[in-house]
Amino acid sequence: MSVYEKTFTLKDEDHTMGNSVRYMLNKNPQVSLAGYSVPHPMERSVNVRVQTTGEVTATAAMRDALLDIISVCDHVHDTFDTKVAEFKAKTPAPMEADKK
Amino acid sequence: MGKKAGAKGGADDAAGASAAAGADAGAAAPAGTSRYRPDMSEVKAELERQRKFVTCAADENKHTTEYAYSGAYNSVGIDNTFTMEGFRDAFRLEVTALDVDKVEFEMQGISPAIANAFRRILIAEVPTMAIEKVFIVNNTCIVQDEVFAHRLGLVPIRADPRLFEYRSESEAPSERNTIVFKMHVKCVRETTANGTRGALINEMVYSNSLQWLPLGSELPPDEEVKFSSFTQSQADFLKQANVEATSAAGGVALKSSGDVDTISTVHDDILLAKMVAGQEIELEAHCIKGQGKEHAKWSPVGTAWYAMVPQVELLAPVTGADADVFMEACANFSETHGCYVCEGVGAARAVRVAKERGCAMCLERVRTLSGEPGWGEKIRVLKKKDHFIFTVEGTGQLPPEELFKEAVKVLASKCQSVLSTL
Repeated sequence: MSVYEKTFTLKDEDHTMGNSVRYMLNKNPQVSLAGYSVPHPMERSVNVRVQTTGEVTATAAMRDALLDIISVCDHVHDTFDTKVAEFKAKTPAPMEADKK
Repeated sequence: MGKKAGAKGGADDAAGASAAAGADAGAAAPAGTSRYRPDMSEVKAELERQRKFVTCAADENKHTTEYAYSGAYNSVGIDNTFTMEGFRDAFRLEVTALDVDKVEFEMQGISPAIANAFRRILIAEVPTMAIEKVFIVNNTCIVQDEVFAHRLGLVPIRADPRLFEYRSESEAPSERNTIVFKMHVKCVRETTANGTRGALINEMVYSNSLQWLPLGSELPPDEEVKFSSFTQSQADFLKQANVEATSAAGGVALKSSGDVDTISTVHDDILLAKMVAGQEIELEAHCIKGQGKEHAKWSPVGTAWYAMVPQVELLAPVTGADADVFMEACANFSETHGCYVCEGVGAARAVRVAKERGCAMCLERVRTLSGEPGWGEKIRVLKKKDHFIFTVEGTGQLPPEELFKEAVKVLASKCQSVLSTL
């Protein structure tokens, strides 16, 4: 058993999490292998495999990837909010539809 | 991998050869040499193009993979690592259209993995309220109980799901987790003054027959089990919950598509059943919070989708007879189509791309033409791998811009819950 190689099983998740986490793990230069699989399509579970170069533990790499996704989400959320407000400010609001 | 190794091996030779070849794009070997030496800058440009764009060839899409591995492009000196600063610099978002039920925006600098995660969450994991349990007191119309209940479930309910809690099977229905609607419709035939057959009243049962009951169920308790236990009027609860949510969000009011303290169906005119004189429907419907992955009735979007931004490229000037062929095949099918213009006269007439993105009508034509012999070197359709046009069509439960924000929050909270178990 090595702390540098782990398979994480995420229960009640599917490709939505699996692919996002796999992508972010791969982007980490201290990760030598990252992949995911859905063992059976009728069972809601994802296996995420992480192998690191030995500079960090697999759990630390996983944690970093998840934190990065959260940061990306926060940035996208804030940017979207700002841009929607900007768009609404420059286009006059359409007339309210008649309520029946 | 082999291609990259080959390119690296040829680097030293090519440096000398390209200096000699000069303006000649490296295709012709300089006199005295017998080996084709590629121009490294051309190779690098080509690899860069394959990294950034999907080539839409006539037979298939090429170079579709996004290589996420941080060291994928080390041999050409590009660091593929993710950094938050790099992401913030590269990420761009512009809203192009915003309507009461649709939002369209463009995102650049984000990976398809994350964009797809947002799309999947929009369809399946943003919760809404929908009718789940239907207590039928009387149904003499031709539509069977279960079919009618199924149709009721699909009716979109205008209620902000963020103010409600999930309800488990064992929990009692309360104003925090259940919305109660009542429907009592009877179809009768009018008798006119002189006794002839009049019109049918309530022949059609529309979704406006669903009346919201803010005080809870009106059904008499069945064997000491109450159908709902509301401790306060749901209108009051909603007002309170909205105030709490607003203060939790730091003073920013929750945007919903309607008044905060009334609940109704989104559309008044959904036809649910047809009746004939003498038939009656009396029922109570309870809504609970759920997600699209359990049943599509809880999906908040008509649908949500994204497309990569396309680009039509002229690799070489398309002139003369070629220009005619191109315009005939890709541009002249409609009078109003303005993506390509043929400028000039005689042998020098050339095609100019007026709209680089093309349009839904001409993109496929250009792609097909690029597969014809000789045309592959002249025109090309590309799609940028990290630039998406996102469209979200809501069903009215939440404004579409709120829907996307909720989806982003859901992805963040999923990651948070995994983090908490590590």
